[in-house]
Amino acid sequence: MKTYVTRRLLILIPILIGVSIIVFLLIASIPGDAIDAKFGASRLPAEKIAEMKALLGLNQPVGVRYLNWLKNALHGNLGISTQYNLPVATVIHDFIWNSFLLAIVSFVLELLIAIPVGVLSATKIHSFFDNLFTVLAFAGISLPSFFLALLLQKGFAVDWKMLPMDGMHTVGVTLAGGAYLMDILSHMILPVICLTTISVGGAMRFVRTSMLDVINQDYIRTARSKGLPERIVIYRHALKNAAIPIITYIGNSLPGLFSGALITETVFAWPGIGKIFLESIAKRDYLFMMGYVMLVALLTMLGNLLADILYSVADPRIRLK
Amino acid sequence: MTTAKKTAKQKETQQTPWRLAFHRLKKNKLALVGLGVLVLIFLVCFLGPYFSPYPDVNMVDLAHSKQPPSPQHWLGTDRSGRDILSRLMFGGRVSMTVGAVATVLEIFIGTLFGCIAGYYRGWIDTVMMRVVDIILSLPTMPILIMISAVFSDLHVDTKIRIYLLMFILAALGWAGICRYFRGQVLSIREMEYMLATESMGIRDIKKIFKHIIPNVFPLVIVTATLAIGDTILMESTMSFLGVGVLPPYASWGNIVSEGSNMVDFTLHPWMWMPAGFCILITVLCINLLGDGLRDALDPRMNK
Repeated sequence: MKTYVTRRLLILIPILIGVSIIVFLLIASIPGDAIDAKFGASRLPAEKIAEMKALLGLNQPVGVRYLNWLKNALHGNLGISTQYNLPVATVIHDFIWNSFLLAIVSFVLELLIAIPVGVLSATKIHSFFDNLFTVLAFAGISLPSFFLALLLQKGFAVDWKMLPMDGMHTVGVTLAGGAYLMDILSHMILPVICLTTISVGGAMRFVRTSMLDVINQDYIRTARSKGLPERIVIYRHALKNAAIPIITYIGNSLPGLFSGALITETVFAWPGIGKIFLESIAKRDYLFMMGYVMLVALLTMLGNLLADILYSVADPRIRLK
Repeated sequence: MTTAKKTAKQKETQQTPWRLAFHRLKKNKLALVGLGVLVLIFLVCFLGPYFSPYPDVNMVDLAHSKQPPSPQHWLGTDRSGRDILSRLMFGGRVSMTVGAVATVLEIFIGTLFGCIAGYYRGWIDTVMMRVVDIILSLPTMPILIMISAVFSDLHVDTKIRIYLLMFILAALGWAGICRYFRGQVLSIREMEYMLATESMGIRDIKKIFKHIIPNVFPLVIVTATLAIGDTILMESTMSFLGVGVLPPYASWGNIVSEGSNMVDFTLHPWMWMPAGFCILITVLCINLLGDGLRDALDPRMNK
């Protein structure tokens, strides 16, 4: 187990380097840089601009710039975000928790809905309940997040005026204590509904499939033929085994909770890391773009690793080598 | 009974796998509804404009701008006085074409590379799978948006950008398909009929194209159907963000985007809501059809 995890972590290194080269080349091929984006329209003399570029090392060839970035990144220094004039790591740290807050709440909701509905769907396959939730699940999967976000804003914020339209705090009001938390909570509701609706469909289908796989097994038939009540067959024998892929799914999703939701955060003007990333593209904040993409890539890979480890922990039949 | 008679009798009752699959699909009402609605949307988008009184979809008519739905303009007009229904039809053409072409490309590359990697194994497989690992680790949406930023700065023509969009969607999409089909080929390779082809001394190319690809083909169809839905979603998200299909070309995503400014968003919902529902319904139908096809074509589901 220990050797397996070590080996998997070691495999991450060449993949991360590969990813970083691709992303760096991509960013380097965007004509114009942060200085152009900031001062391109101003009347700053060309020498001054060149001087600033030299200061940031933007005049060096791509290869040298990449190696510098890599050297610094390995020392934990991701560079300076030109959009905030702060280290990239600080900017990430400042906004990542806002993203995590949205993501963890909707993830918990997603599981609370998906697991019972998925299990019931599988036990009552092709019933009205199953068909209804199959269509609903596919509708959730097929909803474009930006459209759902706009619909929610139009309904709850514009027409019925029940909830704030966007942002994280009410502008121009200073609140403290419970009122402050309630304010954040009211701003969270719509983006959380949006994120949950989009992800719950896939999770529901996943739970349903996992449960169906188990229900068709021989040991379930044995349990039934022993004359066990259906309730015990389903909840004690089937669900326990169906829990293995579900635990894997949870493990796979956990790291991703930190990677931010580009579209939902942007439409709801939620100050999360995904929204900051979209803004960083417009401002040509290369080092932040680089840092963010590498972070998301790392989180994805950690998710896969976590899923594999949990799989072997939950299922003793699986031995990792 | 003689053997000849037996086979003749079997022929009458026995059906081809494709016909069996079709039979199973016919029983799946959700999939059939999906297919029917898809055909309808397709016909409206591709034939509708020929019956429309507004053939020039880009003609600006400021005298009739921002009109609510009426008998002249069934879904109203946008800020430039363009007929929304006509824009939706042209947008649907673009969205569906981009989705279909990008998917065909990624399925082609993914299946071919997957079969090669799974068949030859060894160092070819190792190299290919490392490349696949790297591409799968790239976060799709951020990368797509960054590539689009490159196109914007290079001032690529908007029409060419639609073609490039298909290409980059495929360039990021093939890796997952490649890994999936590699796995399938690895298991097919161990089948006894592959041993038979080996002992008959059939050439590799023929083995791959005649004995492996036909066996993964049902899976290709299912994967492709579901991938078209995903691709349409990605294209519309990019177009909504202003980095996919750009005006004057209509796409469902950029129609929603044009109507999402504060004024039109609150006062003129007919400008953006229909396009959003078009995306939802189209992708939903594709997913229902894909799911039905999977149940119909997956031989493990035979009961």
